[in-house]
Amino acid sequence: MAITVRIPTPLRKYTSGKDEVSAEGKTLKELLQDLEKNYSGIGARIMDEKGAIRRFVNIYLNDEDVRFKSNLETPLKDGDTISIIPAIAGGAPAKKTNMIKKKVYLTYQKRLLNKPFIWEASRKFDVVINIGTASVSGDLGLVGVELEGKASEVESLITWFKKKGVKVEPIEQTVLE
Amino acid sequence: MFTNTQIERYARHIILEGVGGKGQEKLLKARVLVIGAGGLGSPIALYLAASGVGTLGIVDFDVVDMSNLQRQIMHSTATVGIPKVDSAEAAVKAINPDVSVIKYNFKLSSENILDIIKDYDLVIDGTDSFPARYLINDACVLSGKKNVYGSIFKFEGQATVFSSPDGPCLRCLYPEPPPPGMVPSCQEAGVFGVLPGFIGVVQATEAIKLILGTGKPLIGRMMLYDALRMEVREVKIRKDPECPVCGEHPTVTHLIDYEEFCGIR
Ligand SMILES: [Zn+2]
Repeated sequence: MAITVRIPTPLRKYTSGKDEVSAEGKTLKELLQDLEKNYSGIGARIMDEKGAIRRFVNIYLNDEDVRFKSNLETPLKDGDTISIIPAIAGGAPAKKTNMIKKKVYLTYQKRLLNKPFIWEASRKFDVVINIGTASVSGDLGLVGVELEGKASEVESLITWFKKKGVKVEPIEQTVLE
Repeated sequence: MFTNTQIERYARHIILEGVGGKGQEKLLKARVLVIGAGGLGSPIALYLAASGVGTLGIVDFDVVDMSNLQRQIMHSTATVGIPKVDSAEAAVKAINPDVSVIKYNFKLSSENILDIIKDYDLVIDGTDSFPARYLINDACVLSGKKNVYGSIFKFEGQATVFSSPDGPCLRCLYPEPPPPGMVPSCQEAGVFGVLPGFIGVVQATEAIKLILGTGKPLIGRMMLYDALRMEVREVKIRKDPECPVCGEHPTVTHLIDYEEFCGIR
C-alpha cells in the first residue's frame, strides 16, 4: 500500500526537506498516523487535538478535496497521491516595518480649521510630529514639520491632512530601518 | 472607436482571434482593482496596463524599499523611498499612458474596502497577509465581485478565481485564517524572486480572460505551482454549502479586521 504524499513547503522541515514521501494506510486516518510515526511532529500541524483536520489545511486525494469524500475515513489505494495544501498568504513577504521620517510643509487657511489640527493629528495618529518653522500671516498658515513613524501611518496622516484641506508639500524623506 | 495610435498599439490584439477589436474595447472599458503593489502586483499591473485595461485601481500603503527590488519589478532603484502607488503609477504610465490609474495609498480595512471595490468590475488579490486576504475575500463575496487570487510561499504558489457565482471563495477552502501562534514572522520566510512573476502573470491572464469572457476560467480549480520541481498541478475546489460567508447559512455577515500576521510555518 504505497501512497505518495506531497509535502508543502511549510511542512518540509519535518521531512528533512523532502517534497514527497511514501506512506501507508487503508484510510486517510491510517496514512496520517503512519506519516506521524516516520516524521514526528507533522501530525500536529495537520490535525488538531481532537484529531480533526485543521481548518487552514486541506488534504486532497489525487485532485479531490477529502472533505467532499469521507474525510479521514476516505479509503486509499495503492498508487494514490495525497496532497497536503495549507493556506499561504505571501505576495511580498520579508517586509520590514518601514519606519520613516518625512519633512513636509503644511499650508492651510485658518478659517477652514475649527480645531488646532496638529494637536488633533497627534492624538489620532501614531506619528511623532516635530514642528520646525511656523509662520502665520492673516488667514494663511505655513508650518514645516517632521513626521516620524511607520510609513503607512505617516501616509494615513498625510491623507488626513489633505482631507482637512491642508496642503502638504514634501521637503525630504528618510527611510529608517 | 480607436484612435490611430490605439490601433497601432493594440494591433496584435486586434488581429488576434479571441480578442479582436471588440475584445480590445472591452479591455479599454474595464475597471480592475489591483490590491497590493508588490511582487504579485508588479506583473499584474504591468501586463494589464500593456494590454490596455482602461482603469487600474492600485492599493498599497507601503513605500518602496531596496529589499523589494529583488522581485517587485514595477519599482526601481530610483523609486526607493517613495510610496509604492506613486512608483506603480509611473511604471504603468510609462508603458501605456492610455490607462487611468487611481491610487489608494492607505491600508484597506472593514471601513473602507466596500466603498472602494464597488467601482470596479474585478478585484485582484496580490496582498501578502491573511488579514488582507480574508478581508478582500469577504468584501468580494458581499459585493458579488470576482476575486482573482494568487499567493506565494518561498518556491510555491497558488492561483484561482474566487467568489464567482458558481465557484467557491477562500473560506470555502479555509474557513478561518490560521491562528497567529501557528505562523512565523514575515522576515523568516524569504521568497524566490521570480516566483511572484509567474503567479502574477497567471492572475493577469485570468483577469483578462474574465474581461473578455473567453476561454475556461480558473474557477473551481486551484492551480499549484512548484518552481523547484517546475511543475504545475491543479486540484478541484468546491463551493462549500457550510461556508461561513458564501454558504447557505452565513455567519460572517459583516467584515472582520483580523490581527496582522503573516506566512505559515
Ligand atoms: Zn465560500
